[in-house]
Amino acid sequence: MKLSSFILRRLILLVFVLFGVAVLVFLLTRAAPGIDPIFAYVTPNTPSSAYPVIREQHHLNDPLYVQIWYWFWDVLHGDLGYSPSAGMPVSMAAAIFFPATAELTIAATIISLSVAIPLGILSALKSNKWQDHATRLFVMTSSSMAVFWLGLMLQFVFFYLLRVNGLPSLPPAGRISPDVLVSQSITHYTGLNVLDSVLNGNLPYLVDSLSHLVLPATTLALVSMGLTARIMRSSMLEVLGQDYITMARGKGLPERVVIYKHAFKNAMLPTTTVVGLSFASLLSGAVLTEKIFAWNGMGSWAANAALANDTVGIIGFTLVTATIFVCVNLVVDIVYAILDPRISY
Amino acid sequence: MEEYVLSVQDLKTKFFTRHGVVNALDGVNLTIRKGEIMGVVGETGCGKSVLALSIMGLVKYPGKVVEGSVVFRGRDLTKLDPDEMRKIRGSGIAMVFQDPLTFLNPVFTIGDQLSEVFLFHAEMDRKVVEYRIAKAKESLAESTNDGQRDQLIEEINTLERAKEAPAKASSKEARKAAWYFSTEMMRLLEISDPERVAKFYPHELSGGMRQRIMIAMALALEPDLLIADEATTALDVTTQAQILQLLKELRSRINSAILIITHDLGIVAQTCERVAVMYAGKIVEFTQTRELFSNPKHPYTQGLLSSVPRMSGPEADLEWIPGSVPDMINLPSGCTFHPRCPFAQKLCEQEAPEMLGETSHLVRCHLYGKLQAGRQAYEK
Amino acid sequence: MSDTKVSRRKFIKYAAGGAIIVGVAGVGLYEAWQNGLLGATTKPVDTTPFVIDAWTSIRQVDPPSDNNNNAPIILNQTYEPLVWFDKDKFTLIPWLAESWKASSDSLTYTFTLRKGIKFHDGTDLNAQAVKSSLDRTVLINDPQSAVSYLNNSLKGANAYSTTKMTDADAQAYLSNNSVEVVDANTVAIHLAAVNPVFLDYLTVTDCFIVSPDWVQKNGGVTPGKPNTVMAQQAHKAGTGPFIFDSWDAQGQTAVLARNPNYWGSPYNTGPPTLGKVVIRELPDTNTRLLNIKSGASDLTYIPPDSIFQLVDKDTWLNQGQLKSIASGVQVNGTYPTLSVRYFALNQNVLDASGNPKPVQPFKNIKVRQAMAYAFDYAGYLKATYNNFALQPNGCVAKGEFGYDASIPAPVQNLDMAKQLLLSAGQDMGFSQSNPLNVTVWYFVGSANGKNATTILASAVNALNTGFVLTPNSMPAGAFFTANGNGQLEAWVLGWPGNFTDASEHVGPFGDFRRGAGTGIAIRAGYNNPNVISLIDQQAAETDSTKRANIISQIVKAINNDYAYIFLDQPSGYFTIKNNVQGWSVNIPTNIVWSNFTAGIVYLYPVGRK
Ligand SMILES: Nc1ncnc2c1ncn2[C@@H]1O[C@H](COP(=O)(O)OP(=O)(O)OP(=O)(O)O)[C@@H](O)[C@H]1O
Ligand SMILES: [Mg+2]
Repeated sequence: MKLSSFILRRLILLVFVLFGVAVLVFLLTRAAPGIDPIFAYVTPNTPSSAYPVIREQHHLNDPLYVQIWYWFWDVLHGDLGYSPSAGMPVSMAAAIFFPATAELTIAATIISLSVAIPLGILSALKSNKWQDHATRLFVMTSSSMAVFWLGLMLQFVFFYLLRVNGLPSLPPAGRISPDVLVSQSITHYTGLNVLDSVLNGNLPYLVDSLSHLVLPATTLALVSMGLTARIMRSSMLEVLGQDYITMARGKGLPERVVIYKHAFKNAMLPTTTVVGLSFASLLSGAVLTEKIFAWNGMGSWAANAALANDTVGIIGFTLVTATIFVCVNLVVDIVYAILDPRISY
Repeated sequence: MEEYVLSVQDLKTKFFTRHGVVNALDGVNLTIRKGEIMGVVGETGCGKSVLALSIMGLVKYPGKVVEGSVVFRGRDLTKLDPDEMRKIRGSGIAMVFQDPLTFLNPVFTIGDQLSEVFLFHAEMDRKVVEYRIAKAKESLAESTNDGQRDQLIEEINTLERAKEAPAKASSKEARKAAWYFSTEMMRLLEISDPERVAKFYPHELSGGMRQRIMIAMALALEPDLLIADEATTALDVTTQAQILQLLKELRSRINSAILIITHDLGIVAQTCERVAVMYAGKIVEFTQTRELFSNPKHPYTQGLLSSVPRMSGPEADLEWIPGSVPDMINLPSGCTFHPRCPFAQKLCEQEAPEMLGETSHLVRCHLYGKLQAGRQAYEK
Repeated sequence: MSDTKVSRRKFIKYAAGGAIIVGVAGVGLYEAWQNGLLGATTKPVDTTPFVIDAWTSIRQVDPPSDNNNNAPIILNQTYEPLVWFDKDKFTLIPWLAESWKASSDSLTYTFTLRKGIKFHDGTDLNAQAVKSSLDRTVLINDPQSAVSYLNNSLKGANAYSTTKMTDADAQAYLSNNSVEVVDANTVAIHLAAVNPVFLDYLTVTDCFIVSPDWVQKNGGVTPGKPNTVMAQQAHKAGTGPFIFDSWDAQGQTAVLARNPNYWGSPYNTGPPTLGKVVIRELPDTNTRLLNIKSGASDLTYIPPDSIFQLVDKDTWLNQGQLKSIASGVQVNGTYPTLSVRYFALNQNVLDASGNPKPVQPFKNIKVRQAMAYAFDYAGYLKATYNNFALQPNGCVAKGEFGYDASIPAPVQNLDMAKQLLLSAGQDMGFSQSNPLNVTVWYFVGSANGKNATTILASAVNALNTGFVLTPNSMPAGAFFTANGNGQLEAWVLGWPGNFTDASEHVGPFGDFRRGAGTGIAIRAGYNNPNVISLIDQQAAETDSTKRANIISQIVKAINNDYAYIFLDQPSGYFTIKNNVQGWSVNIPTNIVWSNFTAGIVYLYPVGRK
């Protein structure tokens, strides 16, 4: 099958997935015991006399299927609703929060992969030697560390300690420094600061955005890197026992070619799946990391929406997340098919 | 010594497993002459593949060659450092494995995997010149324009001269040349439309085709010795015959010795000049193929031969050797075959026999040494 | 001759004295110059950005749609209302208005505007701008903002808010002309009813005056719909000391720039000295702490549970003094915030179908009284706030108009509590062998609720009277729903006043009679006709002395009914760098609902030493 028709088929599938997810989440938010959907539209400021009007306005007195219908009607007209906890329409919230999370996730994944893959290979090649044990120890401690503790420690060391000792330090939180924000102005095309500053050709902005990425991305990476390294190790070990590796050696290929060409590509197959999945779940936001590093992304939006009983926001967030998952899976499948010729779309 | 391409002396390979030490090779002696086709037969698990891997220096952890030597081109391969050993693999000694599907990397194309053999061994600079010559000759054959032909001939001549001291070739051209020679190799193996097949992945080919590819890889650098470990077992009879025929032909063309490892005595009878019979990590009989079939000496060989189904005659019952291959961790004392041997005596239990007889027909059995009298009595 | 001759010794004496005088004067002058007493106008602009680490999420920045009441930290510096609070005194003074006058029937307020004030976009502040601003707030009617105050006072606004807010409805409201342009500098505002707190209403962000020109160019006004352009972008549409320069919705960071043409505020102190102010969202306390300690921010708020990294714990807990222990940082405070938290004892617990339950544990006043005696007030304040809170003497917060300091606050008396419960047990039929189990509720995540319920339950249960309390929690959504339906036996909540007037804190106790919605009184089954009538009286009383007297009566009456235990009124403070001066808190305008915060900083005329 052609790649384009494969993608098309999956995108059509996406529509159905989103439909199902939407109905499910809508029903769940309505069925959740004791949660009055009106909380999405009021604060304690709102006088009780306004409640009936608000109910009327948002069709909350109508039967569920009518409510769903209204909702779909709006969605079909491109209106995903207004998320009060975000203070903006859902579409706008997604456009603002998603790029932030995407930037963080991409950075974290790059860091995670560039450490986990070599570590996985190293510990497979030196399996049961000290390098393997050391790697395992590192991976276990880093992935079992609590995110908030890790985040706080990194901030303390790389921001506070360095700064109070007059050394160059990394920014502890946020996405851009006040002085850069005041002195530089760039056009945001994508919402990814790093990319945007490159597109604008603004070096100070780029350097500052990158430096803001270091600590949160490292925190996220340290947590997710363990799984990747272990998957890489075990698939590498399995691949190294395969006949075609014996064959490659039998052909007299140098060991580096045997490992980094023949074994590597095969070992990347299972790793790709795992990395894809963790990438997708990171894309839906990492609440704790986002909070510690004041990174306004999907995670904080979701957390705020849930705390504020913002059903509109919750449904919007879920739809965005579902789309991300379907799309990331699609990309993983394509990558998989590129890596493994035996798979056809 | 000159006439031997490979000489294996007293080779011992052990696997240090959790359950104990596996004595996979227990003192193997073997010599292969230049250009000869030799067979190694034996039941499953007797150590044939380990022998091949030990020669190639490919025994994997927890296995280890612990004793003995493998002399090739005057050097003991067991003492070579890994990089020198790697250079010999593929170019000096090449190997064809049993299962062409699992031994080909599923994620690279055939052409890619074939090219590698050239890229990492051959003097690519020189090969590139050869490639240019081949290309020029192709153009020459197609060209009708006289002026152009003269130009091409001139070019070929210059290139021929350059072959002696080739200039450094770009890696891109090296890859092109390697690809070209790969397809040439495939043509040699009677694969039709090699340019197209080269772009296929292993799973897209038939078993016979894959085996041809493996052989092409093994023969690409015209090695002195080709080891074919059960190279045809997985194939149907017709393909098997074709492949064997091909091997024979190629042997005469590039003058490689071939070591055929099999448990199919039929193959041995068809192709091999000499044959070694292996049992529990030892060579137990070693002679000319014809001699072996007409005059098998070792009781184990006798058993093997009688278990080959005969095509002619009434349905004779297969005469199996009773019992099975011994536990390689706790080998039986004395002659390792004695628990299964119909002629076993007390001595067989106590003392391991040496290789006996003339060099043209060696056998490892007390019946031809200390128990000769008894055997002769039995024969009468 | 000899008289006029100054002896050598004397000369030296005088000379030395003169030198000392000159020297002292010189030093004095120098200090005065340094402190800016000399030539305040020539003071150079401080170009280093002044960084505020904001502690809450600022989700949108349009004054009429301040959904979670977090934007004032930006809006207070960039916009101004007609009347505002006197610095640190919290009394109302004319601001953008020069003066105001109420009509004899108190139904019309006429404001004379100051002349020559311009919006940041260059347009004039005039009567039409005031009208457009206030009408815009009414028309948008964002139910999440504090618009209901305006709706409750402006003629026709309340009626409009209960419509579907079509264009026709909007026209109907506008035809009232409740905000009337009298002439270019005079605005008359017509009220629907007498409202002694109306002027306070004008101080909420919803009533900040916004350039109509700017609004027209940026999304305009759509009845019933928030303006998302204004909500998500910076706007140069105010009159305040700082210009709202940029708003990075992704980084949740605002940059404010000095307004060089600032009119100078009622104190006539000229344009601000800070060149740029950066307000960035940093919800994580620890990060804010590291920033302020290392000098990366100038001002922030650190909650009581982490404050002892900056001030000495013992000095605070034992002597009530904030002694700084972090170099370069000081903690400024404390002052009362206008939030009051309470423990409600429901006298009319309803079942799922809305009928009263057969057993009503708190119907008996002896039980309620016993609860008030059993509660460990001091222990609660220490456990919950590290003493950064006051014990209220009733529902009205200290600092609000109508607060009566002479009303005594309750004290713990376990003997009284035990006697009352034993006696109530005889009335109601519970005893140690036949205990009455009652659940007391808080919502998940409420530290106050958790502490208050556990402290009360442990005290009451230790009395062994058979009246047994069990603390329990629910997720916020479920909690508020059950609470709104009157199903919770007892619960902990609180609410802030938005102005320095008691109306916010007495009004809800009159909700019962009106029967609409879910006010604090109806949820607690608290129905005292006397209280209700007093509440109605104060709401119509324009004489402030009389009104203060009525409010005091309301507080006493509610206290005598023991329907609620008033738990705490948090104290505010801020963490600032030592070199920051001229800073004040604009506390009464809007306090965050969900999280306790210390109030809103007012940055004018802040400078650095
Ligand atoms: N990796 C290993 N670990 C432990 N023992 C091994 C290992 N590889 C081979 N052996 C043992 O070495 C002995 C010889 O095995 P080998 O594979 O050479 O047999 P074979 O003669 O090739 O049999 P077949 O005809 O089935 O291919 C067997 O007993 C086997 O169990
Ligand atoms: Mg084998």
